[in-house]
Amino acid sequence: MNLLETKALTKHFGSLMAVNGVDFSIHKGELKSIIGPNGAGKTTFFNLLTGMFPPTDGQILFKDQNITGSTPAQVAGLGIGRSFQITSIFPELSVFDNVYIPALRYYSKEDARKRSMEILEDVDLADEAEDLAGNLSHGDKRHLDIAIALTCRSELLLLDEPTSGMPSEESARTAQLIVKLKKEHGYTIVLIEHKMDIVLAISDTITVLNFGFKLAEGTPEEIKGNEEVQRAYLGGLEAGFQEGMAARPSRSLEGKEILRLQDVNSFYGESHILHNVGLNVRNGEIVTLLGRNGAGKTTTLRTILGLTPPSSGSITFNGERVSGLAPQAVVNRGISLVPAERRVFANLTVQENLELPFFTKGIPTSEKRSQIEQAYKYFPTLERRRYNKGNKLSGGEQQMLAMARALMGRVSLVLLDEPSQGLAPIIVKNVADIIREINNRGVTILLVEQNALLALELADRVYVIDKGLIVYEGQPQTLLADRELSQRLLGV
Amino acid sequence: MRQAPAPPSVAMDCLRMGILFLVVALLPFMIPYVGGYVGLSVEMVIFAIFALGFDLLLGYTGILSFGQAAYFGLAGYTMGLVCIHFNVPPIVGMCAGVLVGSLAAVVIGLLIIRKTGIYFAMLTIAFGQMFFFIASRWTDVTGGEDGLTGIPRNLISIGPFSWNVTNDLSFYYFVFIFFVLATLVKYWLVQSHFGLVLKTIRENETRAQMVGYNVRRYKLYSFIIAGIFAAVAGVLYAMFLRYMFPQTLDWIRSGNVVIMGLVGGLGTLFGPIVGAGVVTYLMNFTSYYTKYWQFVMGVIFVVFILFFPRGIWGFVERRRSGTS
Repeated sequence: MNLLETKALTKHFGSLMAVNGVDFSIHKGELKSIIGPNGAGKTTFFNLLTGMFPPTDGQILFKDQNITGSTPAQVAGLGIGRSFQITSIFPELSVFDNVYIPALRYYSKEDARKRSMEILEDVDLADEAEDLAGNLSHGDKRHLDIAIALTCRSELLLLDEPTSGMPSEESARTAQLIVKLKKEHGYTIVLIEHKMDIVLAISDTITVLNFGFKLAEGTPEEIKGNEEVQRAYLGGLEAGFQEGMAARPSRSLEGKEILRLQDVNSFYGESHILHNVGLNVRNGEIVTLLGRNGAGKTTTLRTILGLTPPSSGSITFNGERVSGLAPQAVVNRGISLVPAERRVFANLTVQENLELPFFTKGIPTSEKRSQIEQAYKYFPTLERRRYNKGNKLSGGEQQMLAMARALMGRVSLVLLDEPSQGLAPIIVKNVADIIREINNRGVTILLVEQNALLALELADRVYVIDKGLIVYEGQPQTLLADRELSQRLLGV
Repeated sequence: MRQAPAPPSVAMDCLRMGILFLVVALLPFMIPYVGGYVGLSVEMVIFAIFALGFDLLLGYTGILSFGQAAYFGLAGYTMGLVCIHFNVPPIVGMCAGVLVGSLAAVVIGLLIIRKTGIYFAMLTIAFGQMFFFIASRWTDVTGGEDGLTGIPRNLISIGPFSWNVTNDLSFYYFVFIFFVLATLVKYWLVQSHFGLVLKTIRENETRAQMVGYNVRRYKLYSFIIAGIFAAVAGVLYAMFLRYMFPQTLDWIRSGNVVIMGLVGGLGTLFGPIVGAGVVTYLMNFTSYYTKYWQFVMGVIFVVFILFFPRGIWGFVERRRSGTS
């Protein structure tokens, strides 16, 4: 019998089709993983199941009962527990209370206390019961997030990337926990996960989502062998692409070095993120920094900009030391950032978004006008939407605006943080063209990516970062040619 | 199997509350030594009741309201009007005042509880100011800017018992009864399942919802309870002054209670009480010495926000747990 089933579940956000007619089912005791590239609609799918917003169309059945349109609290009451991609706990309460208070919803005081300790034992947090949840390590917080999901007398667990941001040893521990929850406690589990080794090892079945559509479904073996899945998910590193790459003339860029990081160390609070990172960028280059989720890519960019000041090491830009400067001072020297979340000003129009960078830079109006006109030439879509507010733009348009905005002013180096995140392949291709175009106009680019396809296609040089360490530096062709190396470093 | 952590010790808290009540009971006799008078201690305790309820809202539930004075003032005005026009004993007026103030909190709460953050705070101000303008413009009924005079404070009689609260010291002990009740009710609420859920809402509203709590209902109850505490404080204030004026409904008064919470320490049992006492005392003290007393209050407030973000009581508790 199916414990949970969806029929043609659909969710549109304006023109963005996040989830598209997805038929999904899971039977009791099954462990089913949902995989798919960023922006495939995985988390939106969970949000629909848990009633965080109503579907545009389609049905959700739990134990053959139609639960479409239930509130999150009602869904939880039915016995569907959910963990979150971005850790969601009660930071200023004790670890025990994090579990105990939710459990009180379903159990008497005495039982809730007992049940809470059982749950904490299961996730290996019983020793920390009296600690403040906010003081736990990242991995323990992820486990606490799962523990909270277990309190709702849950039969069905929806786990949203439980290992995100964890190093691989710790991920293995989490994978064991998930298997234990299934085997020893009989939970039915839907797992969203990016780490393919884990997915392939522990799932009974796998569903692949791509751009809101269900692309494939099957056992781990079937999915591994499915070519379509490989193309969509594993970044399209198929033979044709490799040949194309090999044939690409490598540009020999001997421009002068404009950015240099030397022995840079960064911390978030107690946790040491970057370990002696060294990299350099020469004038006119496209350099990419590749790495998995949580490897330290965004932190590297934040450190360059002074948003996360390095604890040691030096950063120089055009020969001038910029480490220790405030972010705005760094930006005023000609570095700009396109953040992964785009951070388009939602209540300003496209035009206003583009004008904004000029206010502090003392650039004459004529130059400002011509730069903005230039931007519209590169991004004709933006010109059409000139007087629309930022929050009315689609994901792709926002990405364009974020990139156009980063070019405003006298910018010589653009830091791009995962420009492909959450974009359809066709748009990713557009973005790649735009990056190339910008580069041809003389802007140097440091690109941070998870999407190996995009990153390697564009790069003059590649760095690979893993757990805060630079583990590879060289030509993209060399990296690709070495099957074993690229497998190990990038998981492709 | 490891044992669950011991629940917080009720005996210890009872002891601490006992000491608190003793100190507050002796307050009118101590206050002359620091330049105060009995009436000031009455005000301190009335505002402590107000702040206790407000702490449930901001300190425990994490909801910021700038309109709590609306329920405070509305209750006071109602009490006055009922007593003056219907010539009923004060106790009946008090009940009417608390009832009307609480009902206003229910109605307004129902209307605005789905809004969050700054929008919610702005709406609370809007409703608060609405009552303020009614009180200052509807002169025929409220006395307008001149205020409502002639609110009785004489004999409180319930059945065979009667108590003359005309003088400030006896009125102080009348208020003290409500203060003790308010403290106990707040303590009980905070320890209860309800109070624990409020804390999870403060910490992470989405997650609280996702484990099955009807967050909106809890927030509404928290808002209503804060309104009831404000209304109780309001009727006591009207009796104390024998007079109500529009500024009792003003958002500045609502702001004062926010300051009391922040200075004393939000989300603690004793913090709002300490805050209400300290702020009321300082306002009185500084306004006696300088007409720029609001400036002095502002500086004190800024110093607290910057250096003692957990307030006086939060600071004390932290020091104690740090050294033990």
